[in-house]
Amino acid sequence: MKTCDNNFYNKPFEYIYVEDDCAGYAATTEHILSHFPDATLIPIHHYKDVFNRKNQNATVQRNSRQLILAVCKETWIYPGAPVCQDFGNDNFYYASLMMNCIFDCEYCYLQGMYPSGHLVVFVNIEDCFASLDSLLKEHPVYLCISFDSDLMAFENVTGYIGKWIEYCTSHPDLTVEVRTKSANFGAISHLAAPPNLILAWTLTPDYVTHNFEHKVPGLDARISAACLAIQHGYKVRLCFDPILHFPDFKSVYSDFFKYVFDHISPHSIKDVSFGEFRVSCDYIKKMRKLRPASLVLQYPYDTSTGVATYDADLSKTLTDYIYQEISLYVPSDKIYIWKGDNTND
Amino acid sequence: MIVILTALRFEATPFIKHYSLKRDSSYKRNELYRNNDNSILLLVTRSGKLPSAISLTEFLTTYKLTPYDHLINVGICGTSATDNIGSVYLCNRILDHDTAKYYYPDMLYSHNFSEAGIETFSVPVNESMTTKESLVDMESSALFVAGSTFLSPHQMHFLKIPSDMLEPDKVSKNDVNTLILDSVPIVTEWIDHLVSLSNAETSAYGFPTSLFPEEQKLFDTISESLRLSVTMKEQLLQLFIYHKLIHGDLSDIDFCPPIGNVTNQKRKILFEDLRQQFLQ
Repeated sequence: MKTCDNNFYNKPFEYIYVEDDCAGYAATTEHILSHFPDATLIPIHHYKDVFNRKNQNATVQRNSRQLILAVCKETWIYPGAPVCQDFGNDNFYYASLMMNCIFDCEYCYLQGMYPSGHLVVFVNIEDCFASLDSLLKEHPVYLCISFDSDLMAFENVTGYIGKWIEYCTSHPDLTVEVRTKSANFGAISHLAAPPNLILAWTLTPDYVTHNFEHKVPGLDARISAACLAIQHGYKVRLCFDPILHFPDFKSVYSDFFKYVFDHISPHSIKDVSFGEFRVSCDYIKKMRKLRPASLVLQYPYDTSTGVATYDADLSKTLTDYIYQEISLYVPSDKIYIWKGDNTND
Repeated sequence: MIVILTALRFEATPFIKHYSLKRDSSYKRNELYRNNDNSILLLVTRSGKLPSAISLTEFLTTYKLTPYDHLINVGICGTSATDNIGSVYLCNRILDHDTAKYYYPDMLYSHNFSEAGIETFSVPVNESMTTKESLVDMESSALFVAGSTFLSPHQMHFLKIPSDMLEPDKVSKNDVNTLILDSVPIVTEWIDHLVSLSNAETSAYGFPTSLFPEEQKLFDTISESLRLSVTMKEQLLQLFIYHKLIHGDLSDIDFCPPIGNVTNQKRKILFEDLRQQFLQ
């Protein structure tokens, strides 16, 4: 037992809850567990017995996050949500291979979506590929696989992006986007880049990282990872999302875009997207309760449409300004804006 | 605040002495003890699933705990393994024997105890009965279920000291007293850490989203004079919270109730003006 109160919490993943059915997927389960040789393993019947417990406090749990290994027996592939950017793609879907993210961003909708701060990894990724095989027989698919987590950040443990790269190579009708804030590109740098896999880095100004993103790599680390991915032939997308309003936002974002495009050539990227802060009203109620002192969450957003976001005037000011700034570096046909109706300007 | 729960009075005695707890005579149905600064309370719940759940429920409806307060159930239990006797176990899963349902306290805090699962029965467990977990008792699952209505799973901890090999009739009060007394140093060291953490987190994260009386007065004045709808009142409350977060208080907010009738259009304009003032 440690004596310092700040260290009284267990380290992350000192406990791993393992669903009984994971025994049927021994290779992946054992691969993941091999990264945590000192963890206490607690057998469970169903991941929801831990993940969906009543009254969990994700804010406190984030001090000592635990891992739950489970078998997904339900739907793998979901239609993309209206609050997500489809980049002009038809047949926009997302898949949840993991639930929750090792990073801790105050504005993240996952806090409102999930009842727990712990992470779930589904070990039966082959079943996800089987679901996708069926869907791909019907039509091409644009699939985001890292919305409800950050797969890149956990790649050393799961190896899942590596498996997706392999799957993409043999399924040209599929386009996969891997959204990340991680600097962990090194985990997949040895793998040949398939043309239908997009690595999408979410970049935020230092002001936002410093104030609202915890345990997240800084801007320079993310930029370096994105540059390295470009050098290795990967298609890279930059996502400036969420755009937040704060004092001096104009100068902060102006300096930020200059810095980003001084370091990443606009010609080397596939495209960019941006979108203002938006979270469903149900989620923000939960998020505000979990983080009562968070400035970004306690801002009095307009909730009249069922989505908490800036009011129409401020939204227009933000969107126009950010678009104008990005346009200084990136041609307009490469800029995607989330406006609530998924239009591309 | 830390609340120690014991099923029996003689399990409680060593902790009452250690923390110099005083009986709260105003609390009638169960024995409740507290220290001078109310950082540690002890409730004797009585033994058995139903009595302990009822006692805890009554306590938690009387005392509103914060997310940084903790319940610690300490007591003796049975075990199926000889070498467990006398050690202190922190339970990482709880099986309710009657329903076959498992419950999982959050294991967020470091400790020096052994760990095990525990199975809660409605009747005393003897050698002829089949058990699935290495420890057995008569309260844990009931306390967890009752506590879960009010608290988060990280706030409930179950410390058990095995006293017998499923031979409860062979355990005397003296045996129990000795076992509990021996466990007091290691248990109280852990409790003291939790007290420190609870105090630190309460002051660090306990930002009040409720309004102080003078703030409530201002809120009511604005709401009534502008005849705000339910939705507008929610928006106003959010403006209050945000402004307090930025400025610490509402002393710079200047509101003069309008004179005469407030039409819907005028209300909208006045509310928007006020909104802009709060966002400054």
